[in-house]
Amino acid sequence: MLAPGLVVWAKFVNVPDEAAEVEVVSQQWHWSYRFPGKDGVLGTVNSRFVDDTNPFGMNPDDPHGKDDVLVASQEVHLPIGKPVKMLLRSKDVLHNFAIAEMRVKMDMVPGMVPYMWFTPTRTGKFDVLCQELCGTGHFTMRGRLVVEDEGAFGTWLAGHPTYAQTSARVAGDAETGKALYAACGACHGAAGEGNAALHAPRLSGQGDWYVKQQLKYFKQGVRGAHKDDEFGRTMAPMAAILADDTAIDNVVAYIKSFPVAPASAAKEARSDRRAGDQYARACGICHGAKGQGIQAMNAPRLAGLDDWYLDTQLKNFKTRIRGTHPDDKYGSQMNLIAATLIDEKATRDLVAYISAMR
Amino acid sequence: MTYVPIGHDATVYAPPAETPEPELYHPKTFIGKYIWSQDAKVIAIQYSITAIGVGLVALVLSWLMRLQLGFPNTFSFIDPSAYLQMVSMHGMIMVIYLLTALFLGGFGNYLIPLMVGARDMVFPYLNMLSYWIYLFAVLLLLASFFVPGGPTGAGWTMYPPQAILTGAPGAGWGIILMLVSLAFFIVGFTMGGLNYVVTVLQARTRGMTLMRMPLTVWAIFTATILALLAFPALFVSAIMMTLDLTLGTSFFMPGIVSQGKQLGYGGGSPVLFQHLFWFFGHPEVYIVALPAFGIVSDILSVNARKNIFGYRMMVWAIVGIGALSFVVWAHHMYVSGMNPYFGFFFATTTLIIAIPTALKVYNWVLTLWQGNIRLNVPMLFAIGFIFTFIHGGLTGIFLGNVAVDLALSDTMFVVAHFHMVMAIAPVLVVMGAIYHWYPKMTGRMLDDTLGKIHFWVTFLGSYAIYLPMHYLGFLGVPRRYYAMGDTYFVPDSAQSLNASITIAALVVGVFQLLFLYNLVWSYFKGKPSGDNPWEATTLEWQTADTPPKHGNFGPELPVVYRWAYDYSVPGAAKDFIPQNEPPDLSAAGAGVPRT
Repeated sequence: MLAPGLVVWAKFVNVPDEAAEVEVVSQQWHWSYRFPGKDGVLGTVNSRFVDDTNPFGMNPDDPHGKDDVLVASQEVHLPIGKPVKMLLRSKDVLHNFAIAEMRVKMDMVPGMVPYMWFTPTRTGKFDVLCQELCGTGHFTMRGRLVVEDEGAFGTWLAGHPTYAQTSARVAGDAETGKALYAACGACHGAAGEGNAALHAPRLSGQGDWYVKQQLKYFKQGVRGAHKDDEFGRTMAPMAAILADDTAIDNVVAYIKSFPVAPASAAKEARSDRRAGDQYARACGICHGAKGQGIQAMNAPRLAGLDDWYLDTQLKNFKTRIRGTHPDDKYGSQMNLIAATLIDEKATRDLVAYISAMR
Repeated sequence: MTYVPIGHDATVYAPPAETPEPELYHPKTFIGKYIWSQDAKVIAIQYSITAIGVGLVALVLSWLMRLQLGFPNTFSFIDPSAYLQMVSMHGMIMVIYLLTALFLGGFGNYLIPLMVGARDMVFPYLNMLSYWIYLFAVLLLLASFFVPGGPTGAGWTMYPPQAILTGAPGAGWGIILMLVSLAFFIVGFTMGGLNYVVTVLQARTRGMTLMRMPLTVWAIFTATILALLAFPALFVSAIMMTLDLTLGTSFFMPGIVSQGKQLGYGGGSPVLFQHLFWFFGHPEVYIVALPAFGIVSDILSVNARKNIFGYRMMVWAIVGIGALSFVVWAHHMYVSGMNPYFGFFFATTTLIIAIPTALKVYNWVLTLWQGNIRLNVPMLFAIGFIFTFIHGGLTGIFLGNVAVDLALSDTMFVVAHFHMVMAIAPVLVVMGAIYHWYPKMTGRMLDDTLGKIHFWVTFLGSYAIYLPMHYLGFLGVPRRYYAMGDTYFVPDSAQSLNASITIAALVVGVFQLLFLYNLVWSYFKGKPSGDNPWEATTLEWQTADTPPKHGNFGPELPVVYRWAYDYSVPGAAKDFIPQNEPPDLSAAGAGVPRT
């Protein structure tokens, strides 16, 4: 029994020469991926370089890194029939890159780069799960592997920016954005303060990266396309007004210039200890203890949002109206977390607590 | 040629006493007798009650976990953080604070002096101290339920970096209390452990050679040596991790960006912790399993009315398993990111352990073969152990084989495997042992009917719990997941399996309360047992009083003439001959006695 097992293990340990290299980067509780680009060599990285503008920790001085393709998404595509060597890197704690249907898994350890390899033999979609306990959000750390033919894979890969492109991206122009914002301001208010009657949430103070991402989702039909998403459906055509990424960048740059103001209806701060506890244990780890939002965790700002908006969104996540679209990178995490709000009262208490945050 | 009517190994060889008996400490007050007691038997009962008490906490935690897995998002008090905290505390309590403490502190203390014919442990004061430090460690551990942030939720393995970084529950107070509590546990255990080893080596009565000791003593003795060698690895890693957390050292911490913030650590290795942890953690499996092996051997032999098959082989198997257990630790780490070439070595050593282990199983079965079996409650539990242990051993061959482990590790299959082999099997032995020795401890029998109900529900129930769990593991369902949500590869029917597992677990759990009831009821109302209800040969059944008084034996220590397994000796008057019964030298052909 031992001998055949060891023969198989020897095959797993020795990676075939023709295997293509792909790097998986993990953090609490996201996956992202890096392909070597045209030169076929992955650029060097270091955790010292990691920040919000350089989430992959790329070494800016390494020429090999310039053409690396950065896939900041839970989803990765691979071509069928080609062996692939996964280099496993973690930014923070232990994770484990596991694809149950490929019968492979390996831990990802900060400070080192373990590897594993496999050959996808069947097209389709497969779950990528983290299988090493990595904190409260462990069970929400899910990715997706899409195996497809060479052509489709090439198209998919070409749709992602290289490191050189992401670092050269210019900031949007707020002046141009001001004109575009006229259409938004009708509902969201001239200073992005939000409007309860029209169910238009506050925009001021929200992270620009998040507003940008949501605008793209609305535009692509990732958000606001579900038939039961009453308010999302009114937003989708509005986002379509923005012609391209530059227009989105510009309008977001203008929104960013709004002063961070308190919520429209001033409420006294609640001291609901139970809801506060719940927030700290389930929400605050990603969204920040004061609801300030943490870009590195892909968690938007919650402080300053109104209760009616929070209530709708939590229910949308819970009932899977929002977050289940296959292109929604991080929505499934909120589906799993919102499901823990077992009844109306739990949701109401939590919303009351969050909406009192400044 | 005349027939020799004496049992195996019986000679009059019993060397003269080399040293006078030491004076025992004699307590005068109730407190001296039962609280600050230095009598190993009282300390054993203190250890057992504390261990079972804290074990009940862990049992309740397992119900809560199962409620979440069986009926997800139904109970508001089980949020993802709480779930992980339950997982972590359940594991740690069961492995360390219940099983280790109960087998070594409980059974070790009670049985070693009685079985080797000693008046008490060699260092009674140290023994008392050992218990009180253990109790302090338990209280520290339980205190972590009440500190800000709650107990640690990083798993019972407490892997850094997550164990000490925000993002895992209890990363502040919880983990510190856990580490400090473990350190105290190890200090307390070392005091007790040294006692057991020295007592077995130095305080055996006249004629009790090492190869005449019951297997229970051999097993607890070997397990204690394992523990004395393995626990220091956990001790240092607990201290190193505490320093990483409190002083900012980087033993286990590489450069880390946590939640978008650069931390000041650099250069450490998380895998180093795993090596240290499993260098302790694997022998720990045998620290729990070996005493079970020993106890089950004795229960089987007594109730099959046959000598244990292959006594010497059994002794060497125990020692061999103990030695091998130190060179297999990295089979817990096949997918940990360590150099995968280690897999070849550790898979080989791991499967070698199957040889002495299988040998023991064959010998148990051969002990039963053609025996005059008394199917009483301890025997049922002992036979149940053989079933569950074989089951867990076979799944161990799956997981030990590194290529198979690649698919199965970190899934429910692992959970099912180690619960069969390390939870159910030893716990069946614990229960069998309590049914077996309770009469000696109290002078009363446990109720038979309740015992049989307890056995069948526990035995069949554990299959109802763990067989479906193996299947979930084959599907690829990961362990330590609060909720599965939607996946491409787990069918919806998995949820109904999970619900049935939960129901089985609750039923089995409730029937353990019946056992507790039996323990209390029989203490007052049980049938009086007499000195030797099972007609056993070993010395603890030959005491002058039941329960034995302080000092164990009467004015004279027993002298041992034979091994512990003289059952159904042909020609003997009874079907058992106690170890301290001198051979009948008047019989023809009895040979020249050695002196």
